[in-house]
Amino acid sequence: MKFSAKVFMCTIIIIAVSFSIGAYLLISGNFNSALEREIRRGLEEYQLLRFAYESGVLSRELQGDLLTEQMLKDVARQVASDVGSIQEMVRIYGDSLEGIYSTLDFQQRDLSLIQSLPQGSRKYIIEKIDDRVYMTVAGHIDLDIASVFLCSSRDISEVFGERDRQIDSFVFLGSLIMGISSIIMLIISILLTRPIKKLKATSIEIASGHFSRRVFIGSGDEIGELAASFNKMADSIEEKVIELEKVARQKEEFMASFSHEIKTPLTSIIGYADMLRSKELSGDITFKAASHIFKEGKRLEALSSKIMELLLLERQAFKMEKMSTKALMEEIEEIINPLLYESSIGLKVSVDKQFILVEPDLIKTLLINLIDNARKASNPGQAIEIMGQRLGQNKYLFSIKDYGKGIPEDELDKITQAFYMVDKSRARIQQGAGLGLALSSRIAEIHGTNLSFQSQIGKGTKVTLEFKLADKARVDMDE
Amino acid sequence: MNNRVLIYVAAMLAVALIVGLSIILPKELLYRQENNILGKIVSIEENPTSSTREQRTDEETDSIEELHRKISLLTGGYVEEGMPREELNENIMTMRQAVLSGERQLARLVALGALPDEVLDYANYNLIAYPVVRQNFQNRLTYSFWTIHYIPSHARGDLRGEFSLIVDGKNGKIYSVQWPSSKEEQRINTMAMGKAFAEYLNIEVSSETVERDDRYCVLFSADGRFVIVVELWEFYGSISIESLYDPIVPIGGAHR
Repeated sequence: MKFSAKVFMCTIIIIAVSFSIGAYLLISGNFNSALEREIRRGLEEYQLLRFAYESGVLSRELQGDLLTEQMLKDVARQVASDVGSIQEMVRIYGDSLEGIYSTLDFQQRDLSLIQSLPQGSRKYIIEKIDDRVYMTVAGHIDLDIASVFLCSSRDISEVFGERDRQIDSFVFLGSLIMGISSIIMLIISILLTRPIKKLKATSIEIASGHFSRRVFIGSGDEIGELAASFNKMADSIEEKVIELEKVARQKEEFMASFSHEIKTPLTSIIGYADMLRSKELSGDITFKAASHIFKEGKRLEALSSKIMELLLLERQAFKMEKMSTKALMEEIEEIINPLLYESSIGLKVSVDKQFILVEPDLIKTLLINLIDNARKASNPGQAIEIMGQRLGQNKYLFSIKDYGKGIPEDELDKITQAFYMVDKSRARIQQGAGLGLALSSRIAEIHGTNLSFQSQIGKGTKVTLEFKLADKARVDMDE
Repeated sequence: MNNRVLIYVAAMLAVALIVGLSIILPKELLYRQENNILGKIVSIEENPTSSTREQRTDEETDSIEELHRKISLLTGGYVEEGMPREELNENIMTMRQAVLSGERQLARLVALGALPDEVLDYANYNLIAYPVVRQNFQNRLTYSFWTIHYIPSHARGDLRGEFSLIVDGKNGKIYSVQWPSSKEEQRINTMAMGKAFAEYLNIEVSSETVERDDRYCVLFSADGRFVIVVELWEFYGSISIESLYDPIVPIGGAHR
């Protein structure tokens, strides 16, 4: 069931029950109060009649009249005309319950009321007679010599009539109010739940892949806040989805590049192997073929080891250690110098001695990779410059600069992707697999930094990266 | 029709039923209230036996202290008039006793000179009497009086004013009289009447008078607690005792 329907139904039920209870209590209270007032008035009027009748009889007695039935009747007539209003209907009954005086034929009813009436007490009854409601009071009057029963009736139909009119008003107004309330509540419940419907529609669209959809609800209430939270959640989902798509695309590209990179040496290896297997070749050609197979095999080996390193970097946790920049550079120079010498490329190192917080093996791999990349970009006779200096209070800056071919500006943001090679033919000649910078970038990330490239075609490339100084870094880590 | 529609229809029907019942049910309940009212005989006791209401039984009715107490209570500001008339005590005089006592006391007042002789004639008029009950909420005592009005008979051609008495419901003493007067009666000495009324009430009067002329006389009681007021005007005369605790509400003045 829709929320708007629930809101509508609950509200209507609450209105109906509240109105009903309120009206019942009000009408009932009014009726009881009016009835009580009429009863009190009836009893007071009865007392007036009683004293008037008693006074009349006494007066006649004092004037010398005998207490006869006729005298009692005359006094009753006199009292009825003098004291009794149009609402009063007076009846007098003798000791033996014989009718002495009556303005109405209520005898049978009166007898049932006065039959069991103890001396000195009064009774009253409210009865419905011919669509009118009467309150009848009956009492015993002791006249010393004789005694009589006095009954008086009072028409109190107006009390019941007023109640009936109130009930009719309640039914009419109740129906009207319930009708109007239903319409108003229907509109209100629809208006109140409209934002929720919008949220629902937007969530369905997002679920179906339209991650850029957002919901706009202008109200500042809880639903408005919910919509804002929903939009934030949608932003986050969209961001994650884009990221996931990017990762998926990268993986796809990686797999395609990987397949391609493997396929090329394999094709060459298979071709030369087939040639060796199927033909009688001269010793010179056989050596060349075997050399090709060996070189391509080595390339595949290098490729697989690089991929292994990348995979390990993704999975492994590394412990950072304090290391002297001087010592680091000395070790790196020992490794890289033979290679540079072979390529006729010089190396200029200017490194301030500081202690940085690094993983020793990874940092060597990173710097060797960067220097090797610089070597590959440089022409024989050129030099590579390595600089290391303190930067501010707690940072250390490394830069590796070559004066080689340079990298086109539009390719700078792609060079850290796996298997990406600016000059593929040249890279392959140099036995590159396009994984060196990807690996370096990942190592830089592990050290909390990243590679920054500045390059100009024909003028060379400069790579910079920052490390934390050991002391400061340790303090931060302790914190 | 699927389940969802069925649930909707059922829910709407339930709401309609509740709304309908919310209108019909109160209506029926209100009409049914009649069943508890109509045809039911309710008894009312004439003489409640509550000891807290009616404790005035054995006082020395003629003592001046009692009279002082009654009057001061009646006019002392702690008295509520208008208790339901049905709550009369059985120790209170009946109407017949009160009227006969009133006539006897009238004769005594005339004999003492507190009232003119003519007032005895008025006692032959048609009368109407009713009790007045007052309760003192401080001491929970109830005081009752009979007010007796003698109404001139039109048939006798006597159209002069009303003759009325206030009689103590317990001992029948008269505390106030108002009678129709004539010019001849204005020769009466109001001072003498006041003194005679004081003698009747066993009250010693002070020699000082507040005011006196042929038509008006006010006498203080010796203890300064009461005044006896005698008035004689063109159409009526009156004599009453009033408390000085609350002169705004004199006994006789209330019925003047």
